Amino acid sequence: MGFALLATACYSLILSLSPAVRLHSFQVEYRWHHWIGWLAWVALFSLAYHYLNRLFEEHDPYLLPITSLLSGWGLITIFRLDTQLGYRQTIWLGVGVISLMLISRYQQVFTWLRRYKYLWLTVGLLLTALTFALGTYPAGEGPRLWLGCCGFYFQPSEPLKLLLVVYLAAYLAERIPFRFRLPELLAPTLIMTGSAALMLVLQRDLGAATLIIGIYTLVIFLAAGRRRILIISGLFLIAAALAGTLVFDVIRLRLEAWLNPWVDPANRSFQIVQSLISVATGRLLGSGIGLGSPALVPVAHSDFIAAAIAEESGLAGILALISLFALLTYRCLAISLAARTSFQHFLSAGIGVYFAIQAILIMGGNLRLLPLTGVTLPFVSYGGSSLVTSFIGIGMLLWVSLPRPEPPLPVQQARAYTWVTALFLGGFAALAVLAGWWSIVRADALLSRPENIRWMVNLRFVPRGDLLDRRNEMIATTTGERGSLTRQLLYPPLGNTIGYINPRFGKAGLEASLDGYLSGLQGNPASRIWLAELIYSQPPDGLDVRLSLDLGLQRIADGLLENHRGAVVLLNARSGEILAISSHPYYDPNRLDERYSEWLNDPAAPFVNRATQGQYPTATVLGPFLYTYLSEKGSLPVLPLNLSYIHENQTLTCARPPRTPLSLETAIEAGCPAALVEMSRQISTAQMRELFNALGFFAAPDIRLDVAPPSQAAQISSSRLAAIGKSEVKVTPLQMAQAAAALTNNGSRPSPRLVVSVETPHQGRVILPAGAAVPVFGNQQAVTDALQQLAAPDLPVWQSLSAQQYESTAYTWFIGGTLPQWGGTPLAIAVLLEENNPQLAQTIGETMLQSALQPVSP
Amino acid sequence: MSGILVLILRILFALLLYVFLYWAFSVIWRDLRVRTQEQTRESIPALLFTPLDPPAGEVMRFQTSEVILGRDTLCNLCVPHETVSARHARFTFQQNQWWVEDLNSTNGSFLNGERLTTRAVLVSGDELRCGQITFRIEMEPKKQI
Repeated sequence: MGFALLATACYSLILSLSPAVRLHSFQVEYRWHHWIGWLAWVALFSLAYHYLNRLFEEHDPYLLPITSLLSGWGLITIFRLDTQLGYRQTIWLGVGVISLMLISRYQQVFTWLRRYKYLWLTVGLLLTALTFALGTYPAGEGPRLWLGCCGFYFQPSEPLKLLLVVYLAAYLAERIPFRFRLPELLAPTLIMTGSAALMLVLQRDLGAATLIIGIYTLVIFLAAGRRRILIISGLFLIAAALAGTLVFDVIRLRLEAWLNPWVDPANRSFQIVQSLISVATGRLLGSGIGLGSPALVPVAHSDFIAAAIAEESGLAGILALISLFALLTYRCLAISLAARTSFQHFLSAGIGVYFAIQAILIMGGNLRLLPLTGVTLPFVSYGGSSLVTSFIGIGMLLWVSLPRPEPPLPVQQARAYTWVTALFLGGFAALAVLAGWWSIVRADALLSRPENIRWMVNLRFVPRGDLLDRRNEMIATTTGERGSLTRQLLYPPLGNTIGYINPRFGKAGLEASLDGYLSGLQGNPASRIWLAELIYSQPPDGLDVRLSLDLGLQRIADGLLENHRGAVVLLNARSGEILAISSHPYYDPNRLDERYSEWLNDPAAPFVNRATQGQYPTATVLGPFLYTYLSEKGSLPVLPLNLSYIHENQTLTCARPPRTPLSLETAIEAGCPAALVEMSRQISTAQMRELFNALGFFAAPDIRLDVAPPSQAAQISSSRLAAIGKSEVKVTPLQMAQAAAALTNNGSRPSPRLVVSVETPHQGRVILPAGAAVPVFGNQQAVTDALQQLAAPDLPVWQSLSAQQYESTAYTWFIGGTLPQWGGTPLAIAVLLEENNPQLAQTIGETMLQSALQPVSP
Repeated sequence: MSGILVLILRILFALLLYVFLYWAFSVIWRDLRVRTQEQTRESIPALLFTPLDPPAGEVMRFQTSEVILGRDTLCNLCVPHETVSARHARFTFQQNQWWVEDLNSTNGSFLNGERLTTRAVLVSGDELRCGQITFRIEMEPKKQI
């Protein structure tokens, strides 16, 4: 008893201090409501303890301590989940403990109960039947299993279970002493039990119905000792479940959710999956009460209180809980064995069976040992009727356990007792093993599932790492105090690339792909993560990540793109570092809550990152690649007189008039289709496929963003169509920029990278790995010479521009880059506009290149 | 800081839970042991040996389910006399009765004057001679609960 007191006091203290731990500070508002419940609990149980000690010389010394610990534990857990429900539960606890004392005081009750057994059970049945007409659901919409009004509700199916036990005990005590034949013995009880079960099934209270059938079977088995009762009842339950799947949707859904919860974890098996994740979160020691997030499991205060306890007290707690119930069951059966009359005998055994089955059913449901049934966990769950009924049951057990002068009744069916005890112990052992399985063995796998939404809670409590640009300017950061932290993107035009992390909409972009570092679960030393999880039940603070972006260049790109649909990718041609990546129109992650659906339905598709996900035909912009390819081979064609080209009744033209003097090179620069057609005559289809492949058009760029699935080599049917952008091949601006970088970088294509390094606490700045460069052109000198031919007169830059009309839209491409001999940072750029606007594309491209060539003033 | 305090409390809570369980199980275990011992003690009526030969010794009382009589010091009932064999006779409590059997002793065992050849049931007041030593054997009545 003393230990129970200390344990709950300790538990309450943890709950009081939990806000301080969550917020890493002592200047917090401490929780105190549950102390009222705790004081009431102490007062009630010390009253009951002293009262019973005075009333009886000797009674069972376990029942009161075990139930006090269970109910105290449950009470504080309920306070933790919902203070309002906690107060209600405190009142119910008072009613329960007082009825326990009354039952012990006025023992005539038992004579009455026994004499009018049919009457009592009928009253119970009628009350249950009344819920058909007058039933309500206190919390709003739901199964109408409650009776009452004005804030006072009770569930008649709870006392019905106990009344059934009393009835069975009284009936069997009358009949068992005579020789009997099983069918005669069972007929009246079968009718009574059957009608109770049927009524509950009709109410869809399947848990209670299963419970009643279970109690009935086991009590009859204990009385008669025929094993075939167990077998018949087991078969009946299976048959009923099978029939139920055909008739009731509820049963089928429950069974499906049990057998295969991973199929539909967001809807039908949401509860069970969340419950398992909750158990896994607890691991060995639990998060500590008040520190976990058990409220993420629906109805955690009643059906899933075992999961809530497992999360906050860990495997240690759930094992203790299971042991307490095993102990309680053992005591009930021990009391039954020592009982003096057969009524007491069956009564105490029946109550034991009632507690044990109910505990196994609901904990098994929580741990996926059994299909989920909505019964309460005796003494622990929220629920007045259940609590009071359970305490009345304990009062009856106490009465049975009183020492009496008569010797104990010899047990008639000793083997049945062994069987039932073994059955329950096996059930509890299975629960314990399963709890260990979920919380230790499968914990990591469960926690990494997408259904684990505890990151949403951490988002408010643990500072997330900042995202910095290459000059350490902040792009995204976390603002606010612990407990109300919010994520903010300081430069909204990068929305498509940076993405968001939002409790309502999930994760996207870099926030999603870098989540490990930013949330502190990756990059931190394992010991530090372990310590933070142990002490605070939170991951450590997130790590800052540096991106390759240059906010100065980024601002210029976004300023130029403005309201046009399109994308710009500027990268360092040697290292592949992306300096600017724009996609317009963009969305602002800071305003998702207000405008999400508007953006989602916007035909301009602001959620698409055009730079990496937008796929566009290549138009006639590929000239420089073909030119370099051919000059490496040394077979350049002669420019025809007519620069435009007619393809399927469509006249393809240059994007702008070529510079003078007119040559193949200047025609390529202006994207004149005839130049490309001429060049494509020198290249076979297979060679074209090879070239495209080397340029990376058939491979998804290795970057920490969602990219479009690449085109296939087989989509090139002729080298001519591929050259003028009329093949099926489509390319993203990022792929195009990457290909342009290959020209600038002496023929070798770098792997693009957006993320440079992460700031770790111990090793300092850790450079994150990047992919290796891929050779495109073997002959460096040929590339240099070719680019020299293509170079603009006034800048150390090559470029190509193209604008072509496709079915509904026109696309304008600009690609360019520095020349290989340029001494500064080698650059490559791809600009795409979803409109026919070569002028703007050229302006954007040239401005970006020039800004990048000259050091940008900070 | 608060985290460490709460961690200690969390461990304390888990410990208290298990101390409670330990208490419960240890009390049950002790209870169970006391009961089984009572059961065995209650169910076996004590066997009393009274030596009849001079010098008359003390009455010896046994409540185990098996008693071996012999000269050997390892026997339950050690009789240091040259006519008694090292392991002379065995008394067992089976089927609610005390039985005696001779263990192929040199000088034989005699129950009420008759030589023992097979197992025989003992009743209170029987006289058993082993070699030249005679005992009166009595049984304590069963204690009522």
